Amino acid sequence: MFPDDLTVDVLTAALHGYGARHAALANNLANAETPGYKRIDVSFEAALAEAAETDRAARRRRAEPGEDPGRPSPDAVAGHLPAVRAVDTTVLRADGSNVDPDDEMAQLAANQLAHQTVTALLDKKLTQFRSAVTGTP
Amino acid sequence: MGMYAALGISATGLAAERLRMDVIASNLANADSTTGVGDAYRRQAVAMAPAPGGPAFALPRPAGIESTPGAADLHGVAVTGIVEDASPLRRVYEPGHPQADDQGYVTKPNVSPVTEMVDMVAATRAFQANVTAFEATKAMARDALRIIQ
Repeated sequence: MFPDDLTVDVLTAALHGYGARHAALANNLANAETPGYKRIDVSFEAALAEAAETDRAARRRRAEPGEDPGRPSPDAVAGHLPAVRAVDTTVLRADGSNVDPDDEMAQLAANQLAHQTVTALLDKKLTQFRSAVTGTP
Repeated sequence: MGMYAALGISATGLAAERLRMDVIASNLANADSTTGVGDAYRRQAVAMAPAPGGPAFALPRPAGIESTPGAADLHGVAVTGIVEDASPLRRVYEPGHPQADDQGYVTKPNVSPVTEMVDMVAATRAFQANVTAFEATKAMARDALRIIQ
């Protein structure tokens, strides 16, 4: 989308990840009383950081020493989807469920704060672009 | 992606817990209901299971990343039925009761108020947890709107 750096792509991918994790946590809470239900987990931060770093390292290798590494590849981060899995190796209650509502709600709060941070960063980045395009600060 | 998927998922949780409260209230109201000589109201319970299908709750499917089949589609919880508790009914010695049997015993429901109270606390807590998730979804959607302002 914005070709000069990966910031907007990484932040957008992070928003998808937080949204997916939010849906998974909401599903865990909706099934908090369902017997035998296994909680669902979403992970994406490590994979996303690795994808961004891989692209950066690849560009650095291709460039001569002192030369500008160039623009990131548009697919470096955009194709990355969050990894969704059911955690079926643990048991918390006699009915086979492994949902701890307090833990889910704590993760929900942390996820929400991370989402707020990323939207604020994205907001700032887009404001920068807008001021560059319109010439007004 | 969509924030509205999480709203729908939390809504299924709210509805299931509300139904559970209705059933608990019914059990408590009928704690002494007899239906005839040798028979009485049977305690009811709600059977819940993860919902197998529904509109627009799918998460992005990871390509080439391990995931349990079906784990990428979330649909909240579904009530599969209201089942009767099969545990034996109580027999209470009350020879003057119009529905007492030959030995003077009246068959009373297998409802234990203590169990129902505990279930009520659990259902209330689960309902509140789903409300928390619902509010968090709304807050996240509101924050995301700021990006275009």
